[in-house]
Order: sequence, then structure tokens, then C-alpha cells
Amino acid sequence: MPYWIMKSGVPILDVARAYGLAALLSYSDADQSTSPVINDAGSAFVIDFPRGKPTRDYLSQDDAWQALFYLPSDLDPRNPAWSSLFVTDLRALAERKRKQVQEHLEQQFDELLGTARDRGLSVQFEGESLSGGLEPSAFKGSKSATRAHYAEDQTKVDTDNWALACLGGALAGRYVWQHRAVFVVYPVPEKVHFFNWRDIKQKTYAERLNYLSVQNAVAHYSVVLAEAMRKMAVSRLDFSDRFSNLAYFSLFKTGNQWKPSSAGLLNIQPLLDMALGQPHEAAKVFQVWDYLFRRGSVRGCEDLAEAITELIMSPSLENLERHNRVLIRYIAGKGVRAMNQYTEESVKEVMQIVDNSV
Amino acid sequence: MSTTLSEVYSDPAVREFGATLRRALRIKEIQDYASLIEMENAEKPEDFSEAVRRFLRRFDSPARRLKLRRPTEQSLERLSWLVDQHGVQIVRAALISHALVRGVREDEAEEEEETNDQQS
Repeated sequence: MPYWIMKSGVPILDVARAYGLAALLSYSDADQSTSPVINDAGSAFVIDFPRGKPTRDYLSQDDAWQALFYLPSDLDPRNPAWSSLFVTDLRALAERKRKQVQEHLEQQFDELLGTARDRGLSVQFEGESLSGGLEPSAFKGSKSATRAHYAEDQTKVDTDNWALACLGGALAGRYVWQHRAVFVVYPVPEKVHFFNWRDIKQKTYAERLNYLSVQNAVAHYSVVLAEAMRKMAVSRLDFSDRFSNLAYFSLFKTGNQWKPSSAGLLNIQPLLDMALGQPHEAAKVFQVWDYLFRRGSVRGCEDLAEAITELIMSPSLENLERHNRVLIRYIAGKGVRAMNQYTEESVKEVMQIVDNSV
Repeated sequence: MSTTLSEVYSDPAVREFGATLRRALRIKEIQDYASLIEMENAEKPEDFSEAVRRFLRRFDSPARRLKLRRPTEQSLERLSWLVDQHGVQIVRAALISHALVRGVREDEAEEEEETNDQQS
């Protein structure tokens, strides 16, 4: 039976709501044998769960569901990132919100699923304040030009969608803490099985380095994600999951307050096309790129990280030339082990990406 | 969908010159950075052709001494034709991409090094 999340036009909020509903369905299913599937249907996310039997009784007694709200997120990046999600709130308020999310989803379970099934969940922009750690446009005054009159309030959404978005945001948001900044990345599903998503998260969310910028962080994550998907596709016969983009934004600290900084979408399709279409060559390309990010995270080698970030964010001829120029100097001068260099076939795949983007 | 860059990369003349540039940069006795910089700075086809000619002149003497293969006259003509057809930027990107690729000798040397490490 399909459940509908109608898109509101606030991209990260919509993605988080979709993950939230998929998680709610998955944790409330007594069978636990089938996985909800998140599909991007243009104006809505459709969550297919044909053989699932979600019930409120199972949900409220499920240990895994209860643990979601009490796992300490700062110990392991794979746990729900509650403290990062509510980074703009005081600790006591964040705790209260976390409890409110759990209670609301358990209490309104039947009504919420009924609405999602019958007419789809649409956002009403009134009710609970949306956290800045969830969606950068939730901050005061960042949605439109306010001229001299600075009176735009925080974004508010109805409690059903707020609770779903908080759950989805804590589960799916990848928060990378840096010095006085947080880089946030959300993989946008095109067609993703929730069980597979948990495996992918397990394999990819702990991979992190010292990053120069949020673009650097998201470019590295795109490589790690594409490689994880390549491995899953090679080892499983029926693997057909895809992500369309990586939505990202950064927050930085000004005194005691967090403020939003740059945000955007990285199209991950070219990398996934290569990973799933030419898995052997893609493995080599990803190995070289991962090496460039790792070496580029070391002080004195930042030019490597910048060059590979620009090539992935915008695969143009100019950025390919810049990447070539930097890498050839490292190979000829400081040295790069042969295992971290391109092969004839793998460098051709990089050119194919550049060709297709021109 | 454009396939120009991949096509130029696969061209035998580019492949031959790319392999020569790779040797010129990686063999310690040669390490010709000057040619690399001249090629990178070339904007017009004439500048690029001139940079390639200088590169060949510099490469000639160590190549004779070390018994390395040198690009043929036909490859040079073909490279100039490709530059006229597609422009400097695409040919240069393809050429330097060949220089990034690891050589067979490097693979063997690294494997040997790893075997020696394991034995010791």
C-alpha cells in the first residue's frame, strides 16, 4: 500500500519527511521481513510498503524504536543525530523536543498513516518551529529579502510533519563537525529500500576527514556513497536502488549562535551511472579519488582536495585540466604510489563524465 | 552527448605522445618539468605546437642514451591536426591525462617492493 509525502517546496524538509515516514513504517511492522521503498514521484515521495503490517502496538513495544530516541549520537556517527539536529536549541529544550517527537508519532500513529495513505501528507506552515539544524531556510530572515525591516520569523510546520521530519533528519542527516562549523549532507532518494539505506548508512556515515569546505565534504561523501552502492550492486542480484542528488548545507557559529552558510545540491547521477555501469573501472576511479581527498586533508596538500572537489562538483574541461595539473606535480615530484594512480581505462571513465556534462 | 575528449584521448598519436610525456616526467634522469609548464601555458595552436617541438628536442638526447622510444613524425603531424580540429585545451587535457596513468613498470616495481617487504 503506498503512502504519500506531498512535496512542500522546501527540499531538505521533504527529504527528511520521506525518510521519517519510511522509518516509522519499518519500525512499526510486526513482520520485519519487508522493507518500505522510498520513490521520488516528482511532486511527492511515495513510500511503497505492500506487504507491511504497521501497528501502533508493535511500535510502542519495539526495543529498536525506543532505542532510537536514547542512543547517544555523539558516540557513533551512525546513531540518530539528535544533538546535531537540535544544535540551535538549548540542551534541555532539545531533550524535550526529542521526547515530543517520540510521543507524537506514537500517539498520532493511526491518524498520521491514514492521512498519508488516503490523501497524502501536506505541510501546513504553522505550528512547531523547524530546527535550523534540519533545514537551513528555517532560520529567521533567510527566506527572502527583508530590506531594512528585519521581521521574518522562523519557519513553522504542523506537528505531524515536524515530528516525521525530525525523525528522518536525525536518521538520514550526515552531520560532520568541524572547527566552529557543521557540514550537513542528505542523500536524496530516487528509489531506495529502507533496509538497504540502513546498510549504506552503516558503511558510509563513519567515513570522515578534515574538510576545507562543505563542498569538499559533500564531494568526498559522493565518492564514498557511490563506492558503497557499487559494492552492493556487485554482490546483490536484485539491487536497484538509486539516489538522485546530495542536498547539503553548512552552519557556522557566530558567538553563541549558529547561522546558515552555503547550501546546494550535488547531482550524483554521473557517479552512480559509472559505478553501476562500469563497476570495475569505477572501483579504480573511486580509489584514486578517495586517496586525493585523504591526502588533500593533510596540511600542505590542500590543492589536491580543492582540485578533486571542483572536478566532482562541476566536471568541466577547465576543472579536469586543473586536476591534471595538480596531480601530475604530485606524481612527478612528491610521489604517489602506483596503486593510487589511474589506469588507462579508469582515466577514460573520468573523461566520459566530463564529456557528458559539457 | 559529446564524446570529443574521450575520442581524442583514445587517438593513437595522443596515446604515443602521452606515454612519452609520462616517461619524460617520471624518469629521474629526464624529469622535464619545463615542457609541462610550456604546454600548460600555451593558448594558441602555434604556441602548443612550438611547446611540443621543444619537448621533443629535450627528450631526444636522453631517449637515445636510455634507449627509449620516440614519437614518430606521423604522430606529430596527427597531433597538430588534432589541435587544429579540437583546440589546444582538449588535446592538452587528453595528453596530460595519459601522463597521469601509471606505467606497467611501476606496477611491477611496487609488487616487487611489497614482496620484498613481506619476505624481510
